[in-house]
This record gives sequence, structure tokens and C-alpha cells, in this order.
Amino acid sequence: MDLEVESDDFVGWTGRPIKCEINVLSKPEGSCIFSQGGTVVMAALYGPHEIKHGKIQTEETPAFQMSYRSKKGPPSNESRSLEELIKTACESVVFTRTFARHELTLVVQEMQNCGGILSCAINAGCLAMINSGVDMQHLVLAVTACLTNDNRIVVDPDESQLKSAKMSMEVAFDSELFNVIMVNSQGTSSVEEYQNTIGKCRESARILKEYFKSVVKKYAEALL
Amino acid sequence: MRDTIFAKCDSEFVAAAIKKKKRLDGRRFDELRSIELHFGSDFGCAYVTLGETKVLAQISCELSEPRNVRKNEGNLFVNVEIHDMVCGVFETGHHAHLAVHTNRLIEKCIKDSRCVDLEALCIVSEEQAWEIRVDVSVLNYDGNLVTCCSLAALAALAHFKTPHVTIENSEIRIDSIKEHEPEPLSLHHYPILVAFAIFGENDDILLDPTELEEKVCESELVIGMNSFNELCGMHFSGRTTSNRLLIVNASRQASLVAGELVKLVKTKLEIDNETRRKNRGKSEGLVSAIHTDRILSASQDRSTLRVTQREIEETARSFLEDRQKMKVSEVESDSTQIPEPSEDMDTEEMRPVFRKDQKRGVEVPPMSSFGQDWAPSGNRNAWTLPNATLSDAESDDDEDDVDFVKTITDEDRIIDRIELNDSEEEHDTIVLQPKELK
Repeated sequence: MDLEVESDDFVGWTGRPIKCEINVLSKPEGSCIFSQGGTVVMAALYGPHEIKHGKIQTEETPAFQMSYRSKKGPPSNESRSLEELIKTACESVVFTRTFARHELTLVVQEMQNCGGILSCAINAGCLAMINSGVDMQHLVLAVTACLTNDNRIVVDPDESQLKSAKMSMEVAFDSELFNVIMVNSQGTSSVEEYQNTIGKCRESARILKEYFKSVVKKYAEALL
Repeated sequence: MRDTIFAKCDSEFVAAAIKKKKRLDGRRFDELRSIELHFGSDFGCAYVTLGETKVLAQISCELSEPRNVRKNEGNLFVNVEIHDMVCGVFETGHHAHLAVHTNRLIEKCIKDSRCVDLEALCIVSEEQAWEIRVDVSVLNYDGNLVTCCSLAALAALAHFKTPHVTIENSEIRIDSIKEHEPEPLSLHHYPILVAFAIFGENDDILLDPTELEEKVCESELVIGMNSFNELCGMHFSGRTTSNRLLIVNASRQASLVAGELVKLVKTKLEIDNETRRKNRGKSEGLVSAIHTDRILSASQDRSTLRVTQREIEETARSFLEDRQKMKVSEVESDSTQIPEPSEDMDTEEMRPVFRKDQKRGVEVPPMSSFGQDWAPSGNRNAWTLPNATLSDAESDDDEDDVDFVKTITDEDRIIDRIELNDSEEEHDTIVLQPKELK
């Protein structure tokens, strides 16, 4: 759809600068530290390991554990809802049934929150899964966007832009058909504006995919 | 992931190496692993890495009523959080034990040594006081959790600032950070826990033990020290040793280490203050903790048992010395026969071996941050392979790990443990008997 996607550069990315380091932790199978602007997140994927006692893997509940840890205080309702959203986005990617009686655990640690932590966490989770070498159906790419009061769409806004926004949303896409996997939105907007925003996010997700590819390309040489 | 399993031969090898005054990672007995300390953009956030052990600390505060016992003091909570997976211990119970143990040690070090001035936290006596909460989350565990956690907690406390409070007509108002400059906590001193592993037979004290060394050692010693050489907490577990001077020596070492670490915290704080002053109170924070120019590869640099740079260096040096001696002797006997260029060749060949930094991983060309200042790496599109083949290629690397986990069954582990215990008991009797005879 975009010409930029066909070529090998990422000029189209209008969001905050992205930085990531893969394989930062020694214990988990895959890990990464990922930042978008000032928001920093560390993700670690453990497993496949044995399911803990009392939990039975059924067809309806694939064995994928997710825990999101905010850096201060005991887990709040907000962090639990974030956990659920990250889980829905990341779970869909993995072939969980290939590991009979085993489960995967994804741990995402908030390190610094300057807005857009949900999309940052999902992207970090995806990179951790790539690093671990778990079988994946496709990648998952998350983008935050907001609608300002003068109806401008800002992709990957910073904290102040998010605060003054009329509506903000986090959308996760798959990397093949760019279908929506997860949407979370706050604020009000018309249906048309909502769809436009999702469309913009989708364009950015395509560019993000190129970035993920470049990360793998860069690290694959050293890891092999 | 299960508890990291160390084979019996591994642990025996470690013990044997230590008898020869050698550590597996090539450190001296009184040497720390490489330390990194980063402050976050929020006040009271510190990220510390000590070798492979990684910890994040965050301080938060809220107004609350002071306790009835001490009505003019604020309160301090310490909470160490270790995720089930991070510690790697699968069975419930033990993991909780490690978290509680670390929590108590940090509490001993920071709260019980009265390093934070709690009276200064009181705003209105008997009514309002700050309640400071220290949250330490362990991200990765590879031995010596206490030093890493206490350093992170201390650095975070030193970095933290409480918002300014104004009292008007007995009404308390918390000013936002933009309105009024926040105030740092007043710290009386800077205590730090230093951990040692003791291998009893020769009274070998190892500073900053790794996970493997912690498992193999006979007893663990944790000493809390501040920069004024004052003791602020001690913990000893495991078997006792006969040498009385051991603990004195260890505390002397601990005071040196604590002094160094406190110096590190202070210099890093100054740098942080400087950047904040330049950028109107803002700092990049933990973004700087991401190194885009290296990779910690699972294949090579994280294997625990290996020949180290130092060892190669030592052997190379002794080899060179031998050659030089030979050369001298040869010079004395006959000066014309020595082929000099060949020796130069040797040294040149050896040089690249030392250059690589230890535990820093494989160096990769730096990658500019993605975004506005992104520069495309080249025109060729190497991403022609489909996803599947690439993930295969990547997983090749990780297969080793997975295989390793699979081959060891429960029975093996149990048998391992039983045998280990037996051998330890045997050691005991061998060690004790001659002493009793004396």
C-alpha cells in the first residue's frame, strides 16, 4: 500500500525514536529492553516449561501466562487490565498447542512510563518472543495514536500530547494481513474519526514491521 | 524454567579451582563484577546491573498518619519483589524464602541502620507524615542479590525527592513539581550490603559470588557497611569456620567495597543532576541503559565454565617470559642465531585475544535509533527469506538450552542431590577428625 514499505528504509516513521536491545537477561529464553521515546519496558519470555500444579491445559485455554509488573507498589487494577490487554495481543501469535502440557510465561516490567506504555509493552513482548525462538504465526505490532482537539491524528504521541488528546487508542496488528488483534481506546470520537485513526495506526505498523525485521537481521548475525 | 541445575562435576570443579585460588570467570577473590547504575527520568528510580544480576528500584511516597508509637516520625517500607520465573525455583516455598530473606536484609541495612532521617518526614506531628515505599524488583538473578538490591535501593533513595508541602491555616497542600522545587530525602549515611561466599577449608573468602559459587560454597556472609566504615548489619549462614579472623578480614574488605560503591552512587547522582540542570529538569533516564552496539549472546559469553581472558593472558605472559629467558640465555651463549622477527609475529598474533572485553558480549556495529535520525543501513534487501526459515535459524542457537533442560529428569536431580549431600558429610568427617585429635 505504501511505497515506503517496499523499500528498505524507515523514513515514514513519524513517532518517537525507538531503541531496543535483545537478549539482555541470562535466565529467560528470550528477553529484550525496548524504548519508544522516554517509555522503557523490559520483556522476558520463559518456557516452554511445565505447567504448575493445579492448572490444566484445555483446548479453550492455551497455556500462556502473562504478568505485567508496574514498578511501584502492589499490583493495581490498572496494571491488571494492562496485563489482560497485553495477553490478548501476544497470546494470539504463538502456536501454544505445539507444546503439550507446557506453558509459556511472558513477564513485562515497566521501567519508565512517558505515555504509550501498552503498545511499547506489546512490541517488547513480541521482540522477546522472536528472541526466544518460539514458533510464531506472525508478529504482533502495536501502535498508539491520539486525536487532538483540532482533529489531527498523532501517531505515537508523547505524554503531554496524550493528556490533552480528545481520544487516544492503542491498536495491535498482525504482520501478515495487518488485521486488528486488539484495540483499547479512551475518550470520544466519531466512528469515522475512529476508523481513520486505526487506518493511520495500520500504516505505522507496516513501518514498524520493517524495524523489527532490521532488528532480527542485525542480531541474527551475532547470535548465529 | 526450573532452578538452574549444576552438575556435581561442575560444583566439584569450582571447589577445586578455588583451592587453586582461581575463579571461573577469571576474577580475583576480592573483585566485583562489572557494575552499571542508571537513574530513571522519574525521581527515585534506579536500575542496577551487577554482572548478570539485574535489579530495578523505585521509591514512592504518600501522606499518611504516623504510627502511634512514634508520632513525630514518618514511615519507611521496603518490598523486594522476585517473580516466580526470575529466580528459577519451581517449587513454591523456597522462592518465597529467598524474597523474604533479601527483604529482611535490605530492611536491616536501610531501615534499622537509620540511614533515612524519619523525623524529617514528619509534616504535622501526630497528624501527617510522609510514608516512603521502596519497591525493588529483581529482573534477573545470577548470585549476590543483596549487594545489587541494596545498591539499587540506596541509589534510588538518594535520587528521590518528595514534593514540597505548604501548610496554610492547618491545611496541608502538596505542591506539584512544576510549582515548587521538590526536596531530596535527608540521608545520614550510605549503607551497602556486601556479600561473600566462604570456602572453609582454606578460609577462602570470595567477594560478589555468582549463582554457582553461592550454591557450592560452605557458608555465606553478608556484611552491611557504610562509607564511614561503620558496621550496619551482618548475616552469616551455613557452616561455621574455625578461623576467627575471617570475619574481621571480610569486614575490612567490605568497607573498601562499600566506599567504592558509595562513590559510584555519588558521581552518578552528580552527572544526573548536571543533565537535569541543562535540560530543565528532564533527563533521558533509562533510555541510556539500552546499548544498541552490543549483544549478550547466549552461545558463548554466558557459558559459566570457560577459559577466561585473564587465564590466556597469564599463560601467554608466562610463555613470553619463558621465551625471553631462553632468548637471554641464547644471547649469552650465541647472539647471532636468534630469528628476531618470528617473536614479533607471535606477540602480534596474541594481541587480539586480550582486546575483547569480558562479559560485555559480542560487539556489533552500533545501530542508530529508529525514528527521526534513522539512517538506512544499505540498499540490499536481505529480508527475502520467509519468516519461517529465519526463526529456524535463530532457534538453532537456543536449542542447546532447551535440550539441556530436557535431558535432566526429576530422578536425576534427586540422585544428584543425595550424592552431593553424602560427599559433603564425608568431607565433614575428614576435616573434623584431625582437629579433634589435636
